[in-house]
Amino acid sequence: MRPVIKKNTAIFYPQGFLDGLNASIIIEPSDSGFVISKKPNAVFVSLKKIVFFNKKGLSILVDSLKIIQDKIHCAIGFCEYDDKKYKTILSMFDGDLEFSLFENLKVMSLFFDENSDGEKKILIYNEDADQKNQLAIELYEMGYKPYVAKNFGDFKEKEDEYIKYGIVVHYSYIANAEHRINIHIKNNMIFYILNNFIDSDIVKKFDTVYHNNLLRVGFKVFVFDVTNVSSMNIHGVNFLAKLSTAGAEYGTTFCMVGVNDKKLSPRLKNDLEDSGIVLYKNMEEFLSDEEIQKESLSGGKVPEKNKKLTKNIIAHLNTFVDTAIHITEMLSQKKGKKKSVKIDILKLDEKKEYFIVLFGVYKNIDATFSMIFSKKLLLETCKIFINNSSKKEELYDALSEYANIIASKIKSDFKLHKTDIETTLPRVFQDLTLAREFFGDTKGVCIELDFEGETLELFLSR
Amino acid sequence: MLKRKIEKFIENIPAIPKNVQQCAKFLEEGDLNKAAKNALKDPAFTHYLITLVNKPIFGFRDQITNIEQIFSILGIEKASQIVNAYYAKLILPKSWKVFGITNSDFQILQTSLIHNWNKILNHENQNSISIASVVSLLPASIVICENIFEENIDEVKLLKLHKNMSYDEILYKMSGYKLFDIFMIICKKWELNENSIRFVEYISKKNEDNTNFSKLTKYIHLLMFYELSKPKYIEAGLNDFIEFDVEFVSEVYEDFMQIVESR
Repeated sequence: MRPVIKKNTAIFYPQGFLDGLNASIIIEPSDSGFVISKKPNAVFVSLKKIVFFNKKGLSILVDSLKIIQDKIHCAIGFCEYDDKKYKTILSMFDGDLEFSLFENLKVMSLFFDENSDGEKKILIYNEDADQKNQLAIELYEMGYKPYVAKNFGDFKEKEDEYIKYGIVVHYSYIANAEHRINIHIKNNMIFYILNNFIDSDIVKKFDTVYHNNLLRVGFKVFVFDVTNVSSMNIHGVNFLAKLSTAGAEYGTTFCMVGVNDKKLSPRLKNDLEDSGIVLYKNMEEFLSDEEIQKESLSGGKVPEKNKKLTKNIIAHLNTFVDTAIHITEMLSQKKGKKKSVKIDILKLDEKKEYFIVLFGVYKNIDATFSMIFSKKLLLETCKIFINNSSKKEELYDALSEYANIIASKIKSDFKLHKTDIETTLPRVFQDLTLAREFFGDTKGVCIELDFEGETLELFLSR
Repeated sequence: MLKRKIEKFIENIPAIPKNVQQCAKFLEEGDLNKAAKNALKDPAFTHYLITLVNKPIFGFRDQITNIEQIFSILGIEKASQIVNAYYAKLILPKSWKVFGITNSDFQILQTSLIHNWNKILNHENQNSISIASVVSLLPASIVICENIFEENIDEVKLLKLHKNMSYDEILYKMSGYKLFDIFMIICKKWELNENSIRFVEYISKKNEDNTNFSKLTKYIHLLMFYELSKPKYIEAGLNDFIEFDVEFVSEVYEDFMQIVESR
């Protein structure tokens, strides 16, 4: 069974009965391979649509999840269950779990969604005091300020208010989180939250492919938060220094926050600074550095030397255009046709409302593929992803899903023609000023498509 | 676009052969003899009947080939279920592309549903022929799904990688039709009796306001997923062709387990 891959998580959704007979079919070796290739931060099995499960079934699934975890150092476990199922799982495994449990997707997203909103109201309570602390610490690290209920009475008193206006973490369990490096995106900056000891193991834990994707789609500031790191050795420092040097090609700045003499010797400090990493004692000092904050908001222009269109891109134009037409037709159920094709810069009318998403293509072809929607066509195309709402946040999410589908299809079409390409994660522009700065005077192929009166603009550039 | 495909699919649904329809009518009236005589007039149906009832799940020791004998051993209830199973056979695809099964797997699913549904009806002292016979026609909704998505399966599978949605939900969001809406149109086209059609309506809407149907609707929903949780069907991608409603079936879950696990 294929999981649903959304943002940083892969979730399997079996329905009905879960036992020793069918569990091995839910995550087959080909599914594990597929998940491993996608490198999510979390791989979970949803129990929402399960009416019956037994220990044998869960154990088989945990074994399959562990195989994935060993390869990509992701969090694993079960999600979307009620209190009864939670208690059953705890008692089945004698309260000692090697996997995590998240009661619903809202709670789960707190731990894995990179775009964390630190202002979210969160209430934590767990009968196991260690778990309560572990959940709280992890959320603090992710930039939240949860309220930790002192006791059950305190929890019950506040529960209703938090159900209404925030998120309640009650029946969740977090396994040892040492396996992964938490990532979140805030104010257009990427934060890597590092823990414990930074040594050669970081090479295994750090997702270099994902990091390179972030570079390619134009993020300018990367922050290593080492507040909770006890110490670092030469191997760990070398790895981070190399990332910084490699990022220079994209004009990126790397920062390290939470540095002190105890965790970093003067020599290692020098090595980091020589590689271009800017060091800060704490988050306060970092956030008050106006230069860096300003830099993060620059659109992340593609370096000048890489801007020119190549014959290679033009030769593959049809694959991009045909895929966009085909997928948009299927989703919107509207007939699409090509209206015009020209080489130009991307012109964005200041008076119009646009929804823009792009993804990078690399390996045998080096390009950026952007799709520019009107709100009306976006609503038609992404109706399948949205629940009768046109909240901007939901629309941006839907746009990202749409781009993911286009990217997957393009990748498989190129594979058929024996051209090996990779695509980055989509980047949605929520701020059109950023988009204008990003595209600037970059020339590319502008393709205007018509879907029964609504326009979808495509822009293929370096 | 998808709407047009659905309309075309419905237009092309073959009519039930006259003699098979007559056979169904006589079964409804309780006349096994006349039903068997009409069945004999349709060689394709006769062949189907003989092949099916000689499968191990029916538990006959020796091979039976005499149609009248088959009908009298099966009785009205099971004979009606097999006639409905034959209806579904009329729209089976030549090869399956969306779901990884064969027509023979489909037949096994039908017979297993019949077997367990009869246990449930016995437990509930329910002897309506219309309700008994619907069970073998229900998997026709899988055939509908196969037919509609066959051309776009790669894109639909891509879509399912990004959003947790059953085929039924995708169809609804794209065309405004639910699988059971189409199933109902086909049932009407095949002139199923009113009671069967009403029961299908209850199954599709999971309607709770009729106490006679309500419990059986829950049982049949749970039974579908009991079958679709089998490794073969999960592997075939059938586990999420419609959405399973855990809350809806919770009331009958314990009884259900006792019934289906009993010999």
